[in-house]
Amino acid sequence: VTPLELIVSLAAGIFGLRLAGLALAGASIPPSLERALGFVPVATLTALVVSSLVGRLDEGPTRLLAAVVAGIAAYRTRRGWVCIVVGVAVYWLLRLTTW
Amino acid sequence: VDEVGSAPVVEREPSNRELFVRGFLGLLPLWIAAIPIGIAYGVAAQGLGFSIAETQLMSLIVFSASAQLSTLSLLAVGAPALVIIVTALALNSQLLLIGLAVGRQERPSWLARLVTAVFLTDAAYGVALAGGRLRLPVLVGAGVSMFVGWNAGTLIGALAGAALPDPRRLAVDFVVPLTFLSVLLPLIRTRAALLAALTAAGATVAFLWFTPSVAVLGAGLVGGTVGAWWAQRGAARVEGAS
Repeated sequence: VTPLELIVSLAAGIFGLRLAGLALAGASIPPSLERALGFVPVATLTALVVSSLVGRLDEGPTRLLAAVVAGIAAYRTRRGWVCIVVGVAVYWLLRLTTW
Repeated sequence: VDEVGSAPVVEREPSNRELFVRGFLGLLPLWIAAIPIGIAYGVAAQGLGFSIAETQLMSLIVFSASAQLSTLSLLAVGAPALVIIVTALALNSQLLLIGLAVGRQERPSWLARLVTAVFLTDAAYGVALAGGRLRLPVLVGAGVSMFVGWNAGTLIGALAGAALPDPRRLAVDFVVPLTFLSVLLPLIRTRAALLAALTAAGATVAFLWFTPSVAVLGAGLVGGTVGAWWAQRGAARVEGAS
């Protein structure tokens, strides 16, 4: 699959999802399914964070440590960009001091 | 905050154009988040070998930060295309719920539904709801605003990423999990959400052990189900008490 094919397929899928709710307009889906769908994004986001940190333990715990510090900083300040800035800063600090 | 009730004067119904502008301006403060994430995405896409055109096209037609960033992180580990697509859909399942909610409050024409669908995002829905009654032109105005901010950020990031000598060595891909983390933290507001996240974290490690390519998807579904189960228990208890 080329990047272009992947991008177009993704676009079609996401547009379908956006249109589906509107197209069903007022149709009801089972509350249990609706509730489950509500929690899937939180769980999937967590899975992405964990898998990308665990998958890079070849660099030692550098990324994991940087992400933990970034997470605490973002949680305290309630600013999303703090997470990215602190995470990158701690990562480089660790990398430059350990090598 | 809404000022309903404070003015006894009967307001004339604002025109669609006014409502659109209201939505567009209402979303502007969120550019503070959208542009840096767009830049992060643009830089990371360069690191993975996307061309500038591909990077920008994705922001134009996929228009979903979580879908685009999850695609990058799954491509990096060599996940198959089908897994990438299904994961992106699972991440955006709230769009289905938002669409249903919008459809319940308004009965838009088919053209309006198509236009709304193009620009539908969580943030725009939040802005549209903040004005009290949900109005479609506000939702579309806010969505278009997000579209502009997101694509501007992407362009800056793609150009910056292309100018970097060796993005891979600079570990620019690390901004992807950091971005997910920044989006994730504010979503964990309830015990059920926390439980969903913790379950997903544990499940991810377990899945990575034996079937890494579907780890994210599998853990997302397991965590989502557990969170929903917990929320349902809580809801049942409250109903029983009242």
